[in-house]
Amino acid sequence: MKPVNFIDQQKQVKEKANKFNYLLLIPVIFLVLAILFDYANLKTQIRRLERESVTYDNSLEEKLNFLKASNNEAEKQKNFYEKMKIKKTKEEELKKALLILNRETNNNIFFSEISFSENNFSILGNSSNKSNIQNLNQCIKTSELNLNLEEISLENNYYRFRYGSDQNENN
Amino acid sequence: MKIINSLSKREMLLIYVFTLLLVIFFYFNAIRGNLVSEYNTLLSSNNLAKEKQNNLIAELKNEEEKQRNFTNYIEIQENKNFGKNFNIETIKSNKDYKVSYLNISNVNKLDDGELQQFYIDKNISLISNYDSIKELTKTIVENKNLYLEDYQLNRIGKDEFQVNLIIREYTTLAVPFNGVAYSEKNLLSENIEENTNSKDLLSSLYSAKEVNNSKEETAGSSEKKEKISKSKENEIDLETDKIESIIQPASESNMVNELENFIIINSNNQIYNKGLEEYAKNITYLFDSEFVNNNIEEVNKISNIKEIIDKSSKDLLELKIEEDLYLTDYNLKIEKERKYVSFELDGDKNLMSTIYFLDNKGSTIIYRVAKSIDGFEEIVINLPTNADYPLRLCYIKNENSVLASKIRNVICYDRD
Repeated sequence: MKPVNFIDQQKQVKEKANKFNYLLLIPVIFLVLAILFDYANLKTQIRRLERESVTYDNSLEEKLNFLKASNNEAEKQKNFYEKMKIKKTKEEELKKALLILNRETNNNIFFSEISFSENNFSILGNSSNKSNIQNLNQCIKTSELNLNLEEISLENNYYRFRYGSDQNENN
Repeated sequence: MKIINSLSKREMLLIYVFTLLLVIFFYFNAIRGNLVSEYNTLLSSNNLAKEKQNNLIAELKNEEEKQRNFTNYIEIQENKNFGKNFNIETIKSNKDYKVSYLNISNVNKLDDGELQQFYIDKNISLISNYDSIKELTKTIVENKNLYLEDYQLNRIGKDEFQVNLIIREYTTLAVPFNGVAYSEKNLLSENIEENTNSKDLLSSLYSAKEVNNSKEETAGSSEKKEKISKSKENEIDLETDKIESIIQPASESNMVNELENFIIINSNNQIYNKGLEEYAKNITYLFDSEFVNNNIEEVNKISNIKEIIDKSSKDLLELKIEEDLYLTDYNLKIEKERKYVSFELDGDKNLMSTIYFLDNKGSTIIYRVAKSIDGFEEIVINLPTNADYPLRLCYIKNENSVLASKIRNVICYDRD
């Protein structure tokens, strides 16, 4: 029987056990690296998001508020000009009336006074007979002037007439 | 140790694996879990912010579009020639119009709580025939910057009409609401036309009045115009056919007295340095353009220099104005709040000048000046109380003069 070398056998077992222990370290190192990598990756992404959230936009809101305020002012200005346009259209009535009076009046029917302001437009005139007034009235109606024959009175041997319009009615 | 040693290899391996799993479990739960939830919170808040940002951008685009529209609209509508849209000179020079009264108001301010508006009124009274008045009315109505505030047309003869107009101009741009008014009253020198003997209504009504007038004319020639005037035109002042204006003609003695009260700096620099010291005490000076011109570099170094004058020269300050004069290079400033600035302006009678001041905030302050005599005339301007001093005299523009004119003796003062 061949004698057994217990010392050699023990050595071999120890060496095997050491090698096995080193092998066991590999998953630990792998795990630690994986955890570190994952952690770093997550942290970087969080930092990026944080950066984005800070820079996203205070300037936009400021710009918007400024624009809104300036547009608000501009709108007031626009409203003012719109109001002025309405005022101008009322003046067109005066221009139209002057043209009609120029065309439709003669020595027997004529105006003596025209008064125009933002809230009042009136024409005073004289006529030798009623039919002339009727003709003028017809003419004014067809030309869509906002004037109404408000008064006719007989003075001595001629008629006095008054056209008027309440400009506020238009508003 | 004993426990570990007593364990079998298999058991130790099992513990090792469990320990690894525990570490993984701990990392996932305690560390990674927190990080992921933090990441998710940030991501969702960022998404919300992005959504908000997109909404903001959309709103911004909308507002920008609105602004473009408003700007275009206002650009078209804005009265760019505030106060100049109706030239009274053309009315005065037109022989068809017998002008009896002209008045240009100060610049007035209207504030309806929403928007500040400024307006200037031109009040005109004239006599003419129907066609001319119709044309004048048409011109005013067709000008989008002119508004008829009041219009009274009266027949005073067969083909003779008197019209009283108030023409208003508006602006929403900031202009000072105290200005220099202009007013002129003329005599109606021409008589109403001769009678006609027609038998129609017009002749019978209006000839009768003219007969009455002519009777009055024969009764007393010295009173005739007054009577006609009283019956037709109350505003006509028969006593004065002079131009009335708030511009006061300068008297030399007054000017000399005025000068005595101010520190004067001449161009030989002797008093100049002393003057600068005095400047620190906020004393008002007079300035001389020639001096400023000759010492422009030094003047520029001392930006707060106000007014310098050469007393020995008779023409204390002379700036030649040919149409427009830019004064920005002269650095002429009114450093401290003053009530008045006065200067003498050369030029023809009826010369219209616009004087532009710029305050520290960059607002333009405009004064319109009308001359009432030929040659030098003292112009006194009430300086605005709400301006941000220093006030820089930056620009003078002549409107209706082809001749060169001059400005001299600029004085700022507080006394009435």
